[in-house]
Amino acid sequence: MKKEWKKAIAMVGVLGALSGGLYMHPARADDDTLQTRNKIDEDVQFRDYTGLTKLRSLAQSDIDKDLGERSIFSSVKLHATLRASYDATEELNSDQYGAHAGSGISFTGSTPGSAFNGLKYANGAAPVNLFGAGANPGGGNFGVVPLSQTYRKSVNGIDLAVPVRPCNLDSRGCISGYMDANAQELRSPEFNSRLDFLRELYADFELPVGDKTLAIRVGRQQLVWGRTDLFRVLDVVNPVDLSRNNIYDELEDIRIPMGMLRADYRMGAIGPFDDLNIQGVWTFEDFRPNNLGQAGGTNTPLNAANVFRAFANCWQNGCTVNNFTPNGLPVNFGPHQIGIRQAVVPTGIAHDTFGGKIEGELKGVGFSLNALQYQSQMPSLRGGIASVDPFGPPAGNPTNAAAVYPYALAFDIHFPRVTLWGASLDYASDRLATAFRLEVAYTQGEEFANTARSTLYSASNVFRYVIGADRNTFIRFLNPDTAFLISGQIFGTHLMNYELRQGPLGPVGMPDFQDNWIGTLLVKGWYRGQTISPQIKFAHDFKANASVIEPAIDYLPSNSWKFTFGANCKFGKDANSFDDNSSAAPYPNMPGSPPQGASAGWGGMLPLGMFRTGVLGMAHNETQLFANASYRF
Amino acid sequence: MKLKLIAALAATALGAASAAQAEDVVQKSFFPYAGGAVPTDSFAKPGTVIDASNVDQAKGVLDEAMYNIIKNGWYTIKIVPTEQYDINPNYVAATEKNYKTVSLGGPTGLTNFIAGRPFPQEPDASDPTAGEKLAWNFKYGINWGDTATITPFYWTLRNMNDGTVERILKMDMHFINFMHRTKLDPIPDITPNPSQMYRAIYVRVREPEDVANTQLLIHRFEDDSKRDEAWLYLGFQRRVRKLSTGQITDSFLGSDLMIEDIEGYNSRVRDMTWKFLGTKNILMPYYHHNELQLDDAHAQPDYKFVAFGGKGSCFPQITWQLRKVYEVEAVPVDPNHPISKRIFYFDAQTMLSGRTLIYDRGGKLWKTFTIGKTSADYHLPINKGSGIVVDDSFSMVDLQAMHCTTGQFKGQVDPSLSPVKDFTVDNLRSVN
Repeated sequence: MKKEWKKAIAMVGVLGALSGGLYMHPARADDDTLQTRNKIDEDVQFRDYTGLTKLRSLAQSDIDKDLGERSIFSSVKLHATLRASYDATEELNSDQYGAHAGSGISFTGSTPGSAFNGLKYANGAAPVNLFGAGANPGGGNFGVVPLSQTYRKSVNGIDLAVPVRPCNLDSRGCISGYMDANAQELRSPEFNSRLDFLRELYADFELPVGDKTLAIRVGRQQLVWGRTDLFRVLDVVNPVDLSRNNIYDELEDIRIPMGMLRADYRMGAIGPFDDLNIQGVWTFEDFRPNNLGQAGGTNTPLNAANVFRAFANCWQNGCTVNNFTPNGLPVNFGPHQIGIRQAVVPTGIAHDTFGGKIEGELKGVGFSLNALQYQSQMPSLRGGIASVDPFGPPAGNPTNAAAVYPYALAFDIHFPRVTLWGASLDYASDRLATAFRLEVAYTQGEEFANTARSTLYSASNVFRYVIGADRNTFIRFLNPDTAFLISGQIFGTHLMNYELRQGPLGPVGMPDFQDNWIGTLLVKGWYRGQTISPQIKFAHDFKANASVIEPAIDYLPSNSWKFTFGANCKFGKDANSFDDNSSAAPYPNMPGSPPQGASAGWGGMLPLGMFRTGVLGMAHNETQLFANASYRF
Repeated sequence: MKLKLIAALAATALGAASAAQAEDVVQKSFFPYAGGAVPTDSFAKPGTVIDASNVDQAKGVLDEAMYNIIKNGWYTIKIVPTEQYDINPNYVAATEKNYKTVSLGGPTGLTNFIAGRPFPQEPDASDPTAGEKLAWNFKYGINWGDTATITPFYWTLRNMNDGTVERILKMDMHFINFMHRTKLDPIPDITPNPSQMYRAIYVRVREPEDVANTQLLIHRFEDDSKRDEAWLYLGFQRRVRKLSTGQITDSFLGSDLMIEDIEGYNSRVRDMTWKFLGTKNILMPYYHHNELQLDDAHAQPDYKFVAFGGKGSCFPQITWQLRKVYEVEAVPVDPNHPISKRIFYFDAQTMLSGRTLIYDRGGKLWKTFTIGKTSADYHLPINKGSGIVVDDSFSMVDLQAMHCTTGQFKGQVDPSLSPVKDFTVDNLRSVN
């Protein structure tokens, strides 16, 4: 038996013993004031290209203590959710995702048999076509995979090498404070510097104010806004952890709880409203972005983590970029010439989240008006930073000191300040026997890649909207007794400050679509007293023309056990292209191109075509089978 | 002058006669067994135990489904003396005061209704609206009074063939009347109430863990033309979802009950076509909780729940009384409704539905629903003198699937357990 398997089994055994111990000596202490709920969960996932992608044991406890009436408060309650997990994938499938992932690679260009031609870009580095040698003094040609391989498919466009091992084993391309997880953090993500094993920890206070109530919740918590599933329009107060299972886990499990002070003034029925409430929220815990995974990890939505690490490595150590020249040849860059320099993760009160909402019921319509100011949880790559000219000292810069070159592929990652204005409605139509949900959000401050700008990004106001409908419908030949839940949603996005023009070689500007829609559909049925529940989820990205379908079945043999089996299958178009900026001419000495010029539009799938391929399409080659067993007590 | 005096005396006499008549109507409605005038049957006497061997002799005092259940050997029932319950005198007084001006029709379905039992008159088989009037009596029935709570409330899902327990749901269920209140302040209405909500039901599921914190909120309106509004909060989503009407007639949490079944019937009057089928004396599930052989499962220091036995442990181990009932047929107006009809047996004194038969779309008997009632004086101390008859157990048996859901109540008439603020949509969100 392989050592890794033994280790993993031992760890699973430890967790099992722990859970067994809890079961034998129940932590549950239900009385009028203290309640404990526990869960042990085993999750297995398997992909056709890479094999095992998850073997996770998870334990979670939810503890509630009701302290009753205290001082001026009519009610005081405490809540804690503790979570710990261990994922053995990295050990059991270490060739793909762990210490032995990646290898030495070589780029040969897009033309078979073409000779390497890296001299003119190499800034004095040895003209070799092996990643890392010469231009990569910080490491060697090991532990990397071509960026295109992270997508599991040969694609057009540029290509880079991505270091794929955990950051404690290989620090190349790790971005301090953003994407720098070590092996232990990848295996047990709750045990990190942010103490994520304390998943939730908060206190509730209710203060009577006349016949109204002021409810205060302080501590680490999830705050859920909006009325939609799967994709978020208003539900943006907490960041999310997409490294767990891309977008496919329940939001409750992947929201990253944050330290917040939340106050709800509950007025109940007042004036024409059947219910009216005002909520204010301040997130005082330091900003956290969405977790987009880490290069070499099993879940890297949009492939962003792989691109970022490849670019960060370029900045740190230099790199070879395949297909960079118009005739498709690889090119070496030295350190600090192209790539990602750093992630600027904001801290301090100026970057806290502030917001509020008014929510209520009026004549059968549920509504909310929302406002939020927050740091974008998605990264923005801002160009316009000082970098070194790969062509040697330009005029007026004899030492070739770093300088700002327009259109240069040199970035810092920022998380810009965003202001959101939103609203939501729900309404049940008696005639159609359907409940409708609507959300809209208008944001100011979001940033997008834009090859038409010298800084390679620009801000755009964004209008997002979703309409959803839920209907219970009998499909009598499948189940004469119980209706199926049919739930559909259409998400739309409109970029208000869109920029796109036709260059000599292709479109130049923002790779995102100005307007795009994603549709989702859920059909869920129940049998044998809801102990067997098959369902099919479907999603389609209309502009990317990418789809996913997820059939699954839940089986609950008892109050405590639940088993889920299913498959997550992607299909449709798997790659869209866009300008990759390789035809820009950022440097004065760059031969053969007009100096300081923008891209001509030559491009491919990597890297910016990813935005056009979308979160569904970029996971095209991650079709997987999954199984889950959970025991609750 | 003399003539005026005579007229005045005559008017007074007529008024007194009318008042006496009114009082008589109401007294007969609420106290049908006054003076010991209880129903009798030559076989079904107190102390008799009915089982498969003698059920044919009791056929006349059993509804069709219960007769077959006993005939199949699935259940035996013990008869105890018929009992007349104390009904909240405020509710009776409100009936007396208001019923003469109440009539069917108008924008909300009833005109001039203020409080109490809208139609206390004995139903007349020749009256085509008699069934609907009884439906209104049920809607505005004394039921749980102005507010009550069932906590805890155990629902057990069982395979009736072998008694296997498939699932146990533990929940709390809260009720409140916003209008037509007769006992608890404010009387008669809680204000403000902009949508003229009559009643609200709030359910919070505690166990099992996969559905823990699921909550259901139902608002029923004074205006019967307004569809109930219902919201579901799913703990695993942490999100409130407005329910479509189809979800009201679907299985609730996998049980054999739909939301529409809660309390016997949980929807609008106008969703059914009501037909009065006649008055009968049949055996109804009325008992003294504290005198039963109770279940040790889920027992609390101060309380034990009703036990279940019989075939698959689907039937409450309670006593039954021979009681006057009104048999009413209710046919869904919606042709897509999952059932073809319900037959209600409304208890004449309490207007509670102790027995309901439910027929599938093909007209075959599908489910039989028993809601056991205990005298409040033989239950928890807090319920004594509450002037209601306490819902205390239920059994919903799916005769086609041979499956059942049984319910064990700890009903508490304690207003502090169901404050008004708990019946708001935002309260659902406040759980986590």
